[in-house]
Amino acid sequence: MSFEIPVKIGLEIHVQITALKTKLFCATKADYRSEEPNTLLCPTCLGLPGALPKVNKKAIEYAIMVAKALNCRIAPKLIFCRKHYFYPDMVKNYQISQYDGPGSTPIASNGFVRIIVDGKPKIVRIRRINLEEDPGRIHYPTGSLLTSKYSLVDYNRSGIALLEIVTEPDIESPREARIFLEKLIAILEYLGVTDTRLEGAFRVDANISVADQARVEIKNIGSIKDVERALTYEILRQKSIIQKGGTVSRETRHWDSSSKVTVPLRIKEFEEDYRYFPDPDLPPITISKEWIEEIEKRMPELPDARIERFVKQYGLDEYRAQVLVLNKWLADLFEEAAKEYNNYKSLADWLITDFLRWVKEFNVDPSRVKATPKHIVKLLKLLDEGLISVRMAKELMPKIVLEGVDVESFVKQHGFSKLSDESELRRVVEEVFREYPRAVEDARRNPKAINFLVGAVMKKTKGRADPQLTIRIIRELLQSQQ
Amino acid sequence: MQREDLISYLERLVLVRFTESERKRIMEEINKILDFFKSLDEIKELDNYEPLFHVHDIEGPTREDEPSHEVELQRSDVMLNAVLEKGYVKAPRTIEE
Repeated sequence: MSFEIPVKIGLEIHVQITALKTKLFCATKADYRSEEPNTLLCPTCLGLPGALPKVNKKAIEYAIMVAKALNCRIAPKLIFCRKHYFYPDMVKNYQISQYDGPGSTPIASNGFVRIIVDGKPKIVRIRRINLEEDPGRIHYPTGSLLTSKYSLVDYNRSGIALLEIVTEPDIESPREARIFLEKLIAILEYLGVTDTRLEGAFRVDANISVADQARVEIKNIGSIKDVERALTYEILRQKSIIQKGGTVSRETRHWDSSSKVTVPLRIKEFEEDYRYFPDPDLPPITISKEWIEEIEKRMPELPDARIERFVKQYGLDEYRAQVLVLNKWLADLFEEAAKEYNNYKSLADWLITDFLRWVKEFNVDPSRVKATPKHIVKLLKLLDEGLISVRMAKELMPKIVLEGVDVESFVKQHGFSKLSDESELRRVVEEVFREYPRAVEDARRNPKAINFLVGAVMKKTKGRADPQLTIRIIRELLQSQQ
Repeated sequence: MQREDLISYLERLVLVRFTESERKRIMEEINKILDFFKSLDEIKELDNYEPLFHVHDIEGPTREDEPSHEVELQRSDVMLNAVLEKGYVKAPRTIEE
């Protein structure tokens, strides 16, 4: 999709640190997803008078990891501020967050993420990363904010450690937003910070301006697909205003995922409305160089480094390396298989085309894919030895993905092996010649017409015939019968 | 900003409305506060001072990521003042017609 009018998009990504066992400021259990509403609560995460927050050390360490992975500058002190607003998702009427303004600083700033758009590298700058608490979850009785007469709140989520990652407005299309988010999610997954497949673990607000008009903020987008949809919708909406000679007004809109539209929200707050000030309950925490270095040592290999290594170690091109690496489980499977199979390019091709296609087609959760690296290696070895054809390998792939079928025994049991016995194949070709005399005539006059005969042989052998051998036998027979 | 406007501005920020007599009283108090804070303008070379985030010069404590059983004991009490529906807390609508 291309947009002739210039589009500027900045994203605010909220990521829960789902790797934590407790909330950010209290020792209440963090895994709220299978719990009844309003059961994981304590005076601190409800903000009751007298309760004191105490920071989860692990949460700071994960935030530092993310900051490092996104090439950010890390603040020497961790300072929490109160951000005040009145909304039912927050009981104490302020959120403990961080402030990027006079006298205060977020945990990290000035980073960047490398992405590749249409084969070209591009940098998306990261403005800042905040460590903050998640508010409660609002549930709409009718399923939609638009039609509900009141809202229902579950405060189990309030106080969950949340990272707010804010980009500069460097993104120029909904598709670029998707590519960026896929990369970001891969980085977070490699770090083991968050499981973005969990409902609500990953939420996006998008700022978008079209043709240098006012910036519109879209809140409440819950998936990468919806980010693309909401941005596309908003671009069309703003464009049609501009084309009618109107001006886009600066406002906050809500993405309604059931009706797939954005609607204006009542929130019209300016920064001063939040009345930010340092939280007197939380003295600053020093982030020493030694601490950062110690955390860096524990960091795993990240996507960019792995892509580079795949190119060097396995001789893959950057595109293939990237497709593998951004699907961590697939890259892991590739590396396991590569220990026993050294045609790396062929291995990569089979994984990113047929294998990945079936995983997506069946919508299989990657953790539930039955195929092991051994299955893939066996399949490719049978193919290399000429015992099965490419077509057979393609047919076997879904069985491997879904059922974890052992290729070797399957081929033996079902006679699924390639027909490369010359005398047997010759008999089939002769049969085809008898059945289609006119096609044989055609093939004598026009060499291209041979394809019909090859197809007929394939049909008779259910695709088992070795194509090269079949063509050779047909040519020989055509000549000998002349 | 004019000091009269400042009062209306503060009313909006804190979401309250003052009566005329309250406005008068608060105006006087605000004036005193602002005049007192003016003394800060006399400090030179502010860059030489570390900003103060907390009145006590102490390092913020942290805790390990371990759930506490004490928390569980308090759970049943914390929702006593809420209007509940199916376990959820009932709250007003958040969008205008």
